[in-house]
Amino acid sequence: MSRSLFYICWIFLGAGLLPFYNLHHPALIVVFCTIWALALIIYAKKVKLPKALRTVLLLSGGVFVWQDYDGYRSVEAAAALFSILAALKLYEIKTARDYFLFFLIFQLMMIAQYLLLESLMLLAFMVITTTLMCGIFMDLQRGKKDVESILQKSKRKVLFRVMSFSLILTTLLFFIFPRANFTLFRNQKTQTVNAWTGFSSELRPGSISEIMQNDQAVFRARFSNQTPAMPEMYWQGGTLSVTDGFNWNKNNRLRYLAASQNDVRGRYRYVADMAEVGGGSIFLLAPATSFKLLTLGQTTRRGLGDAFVSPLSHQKLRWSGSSNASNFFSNDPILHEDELQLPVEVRSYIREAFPQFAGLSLDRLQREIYLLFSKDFSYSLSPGAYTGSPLEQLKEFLEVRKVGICEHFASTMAIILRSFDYPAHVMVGFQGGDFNDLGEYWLIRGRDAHAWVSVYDSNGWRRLDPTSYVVPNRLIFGATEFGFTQGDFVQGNMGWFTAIRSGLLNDVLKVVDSTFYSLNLAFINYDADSQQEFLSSLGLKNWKRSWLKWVSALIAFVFIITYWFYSRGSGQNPWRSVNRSYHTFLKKLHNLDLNVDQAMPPYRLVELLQQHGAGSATISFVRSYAAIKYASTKSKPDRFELRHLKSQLSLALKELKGRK
Amino acid sequence: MKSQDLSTSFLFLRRVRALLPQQLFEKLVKKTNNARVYIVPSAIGFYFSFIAFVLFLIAISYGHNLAYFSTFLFFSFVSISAVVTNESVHAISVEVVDQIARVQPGTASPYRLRVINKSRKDQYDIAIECLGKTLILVDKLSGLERRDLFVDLSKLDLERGQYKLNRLSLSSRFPFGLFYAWKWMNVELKLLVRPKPLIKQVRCFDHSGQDFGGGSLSMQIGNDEYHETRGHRPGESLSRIDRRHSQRFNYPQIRVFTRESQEAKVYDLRGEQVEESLSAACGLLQEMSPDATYGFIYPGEHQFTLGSGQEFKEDCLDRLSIHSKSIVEFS
Repeated sequence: MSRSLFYICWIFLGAGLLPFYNLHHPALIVVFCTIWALALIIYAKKVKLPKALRTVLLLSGGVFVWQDYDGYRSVEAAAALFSILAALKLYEIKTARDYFLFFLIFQLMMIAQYLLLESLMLLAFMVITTTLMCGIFMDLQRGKKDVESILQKSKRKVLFRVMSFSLILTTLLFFIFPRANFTLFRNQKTQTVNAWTGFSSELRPGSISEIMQNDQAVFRARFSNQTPAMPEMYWQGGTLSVTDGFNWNKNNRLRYLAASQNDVRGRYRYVADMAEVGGGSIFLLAPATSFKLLTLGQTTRRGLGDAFVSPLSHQKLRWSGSSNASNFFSNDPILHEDELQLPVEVRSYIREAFPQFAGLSLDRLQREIYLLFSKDFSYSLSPGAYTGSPLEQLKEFLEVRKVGICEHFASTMAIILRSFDYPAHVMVGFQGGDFNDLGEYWLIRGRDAHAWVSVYDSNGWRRLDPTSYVVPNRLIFGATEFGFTQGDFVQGNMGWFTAIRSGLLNDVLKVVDSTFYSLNLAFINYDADSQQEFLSSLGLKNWKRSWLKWVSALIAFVFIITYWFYSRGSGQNPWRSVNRSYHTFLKKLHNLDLNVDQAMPPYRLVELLQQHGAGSATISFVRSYAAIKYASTKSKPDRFELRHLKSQLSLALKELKGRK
Repeated sequence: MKSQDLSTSFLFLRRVRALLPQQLFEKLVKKTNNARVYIVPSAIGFYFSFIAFVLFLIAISYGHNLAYFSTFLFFSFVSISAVVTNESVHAISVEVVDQIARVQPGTASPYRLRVINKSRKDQYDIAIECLGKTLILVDKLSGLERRDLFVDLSKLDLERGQYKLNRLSLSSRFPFGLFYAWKWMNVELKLLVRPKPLIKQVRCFDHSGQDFGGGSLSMQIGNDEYHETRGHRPGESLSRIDRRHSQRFNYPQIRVFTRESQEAKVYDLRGEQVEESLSAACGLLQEMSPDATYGFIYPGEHQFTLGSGQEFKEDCLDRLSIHSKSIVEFS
């Protein structure tokens, strides 16, 4: 086999694993790279590795994966094992059969990777690699020594035809084949879920500003009916209620409960999709009234709309929810005593620093805090680090620097409220987002990360946002517009995309993102509900799900048969029907004892027929045949000519029928 | 070889055949055999389908859309490639140009076949097979092309004898090698497989050229005028070697004299080692000068016929091929 084929296999293997390095243990990547690179060196130097050594390497690889992944049961272990197997196969690749086997192992590796990561890019990668693999199979199937099919135009055409028809059939089956709402593997993943949005169970000064530096999309949400105004759009991710005076943590005494709340359909209904694979807290529009996870996973919730998801498979989370316009959320199981927790020295300091706040009603207190923050404090995306004990940090913020980001204001406000016996806590999540008017959805990025306060009064829990006291435009216009007008992006904090954006570039980016989102919805997030919607849009709302599998089989069958007929039709001799008419005619003459050689020219046949006293229709048929077949420069007869010849033939046969 | 099939389908077919007029049935079989394309998955096709099946299980187990997409993509590639493989051989036919093919084992024995592509589309990688051996692999056959090809029948590795070949097979694995499709082409071809040539001394008698068929043999050797030289044959005396010519041809050359050249040689192939004798005769014929006059006494016979020239040589070779062998029919 030629060298180029080996190099193609080598590149295939690298391209199949290395772009997804973050899905695997770093040790595996190192081992894989070593084996992979050695395979190239050994091939280039024409060194033959003894079989015993190859076996040792194989066994070592197996043991390594076993130890690294605690067995072979997980998908990650399968991907790792197949990657090592494929790399070791390169050491002994020689015959066409070896190449076939290599590609089959490679495909198994890719399948494991598909399960680890759901992405449109992977979908495209899958289509491209499968097509390339089939192109290589084209040569391997006949033991060719070089890759020619991909380069040979005529064979490339065949490959292209097979690929395009396959893609059409694949897409049809993909949308029609019934999706189930169950999984055979109901075991919940035991591994720790990632804090994949950047939020963790604690809030320290500066943690949100770190998230805000990230320009990546976190999730996208599409509202089905009404959309809340930007200042009302709070995507709640977590409630932090334990504080040391400046930093906040989750209250571990508050247990997440299984989804037991009576969901009420709210005014603003939406469907949201995470941009990355992961698990943990997800973001619900506050105050959340209903929530449903659309992907496979286990959900736990607790009051105030926190939701925590452990996905069952490596899928990007998708959920639907709704929210009310009200800023109150009264029905929650949180103990108010817990929400008053505060270190004694912090409480004493606040009471001493703000004696005028004592005894004020909540509204008055809120007013006072507003005056405090709006007067002397300023907002900055890079407020700098606060050092010292929590109390010292708090003092430095309140008395010295007076500069902060949303988390500083939220934290301080919650502490002030607790100091004066109002149950309060900090809530983290996102606020606002960028509206994509082409796709009609909201794109929530890292820069939209936000922290605010929830306080309890006699009506229930109420949201207060101290950031609005300092920079109301941040909430009114959203983080993108605000950052752009403030010049924060230009300072390099928020990514070059936004910094250089112009009207046109923004539109282009919107189109790209909208297309990406739509394709994601269509291919990656296609589930039983989406299928139902799809069928409804086709007017097939009443179709039973059980019918779909038969419909899928029927579609596949009909498609393949149609392709078969199409393929045959396009390959037929275009003059076939003309020749057949003429042969029928000659056969009739033969039955009348007039044996005519098939090679006889038509004009000679006309003379012969005239000698035998043939009728006008018979002679006319032969002349028509000659005119269509020989007096034309066309490469194939057209429909009218065929129809004309057919009618002429029927007349001629009718005329000959009465003769002897 | 013709095997006796006792399967239920075969017995059923035999009963049906008994009910039908013989001629019609034969015509029907001939017609359908030429048109019917058989297709089975290859080993790689099985692996590929297995992967698609595993993917399908993964897809329904995890509800994973990429797995669904891959499953359907693999399924589509497999099913459409089956159609393409089928189409690759469907429109191709083969005609034999000559009714008799002569095969010399161990030596290339070209035989002309005409391959016809009845389709407008180009077809690729068509193998013409016979008795399980690939005779030739046609890279590309353009749309509506008729092409004469020479196949090497010595690849069949047949023993000496006469055979009747009733069909050839056209097969293809194009495009991806996932399926193997073939169809039988009815042909009427007689194969004459010659003995394997063997360099061995054969009992030989000289015979006067003027007295063809008289049976009087003489042993007069080289006592007249020098005529030409020829290659040395095993068993010939070293004293007749012409050193000068041997040096020129780099092979021992024997002097042939005028009278000797006009004399006929009769080779006696009788003896216990029949196959060996026939092979030796074949080897002898290959080395024989075109204008030499010779004859053979075949095993079990007493008569011989003298002759010379290419036609006589071919006749002799044909007789060597069919000697004591009845026709074996391959179906």
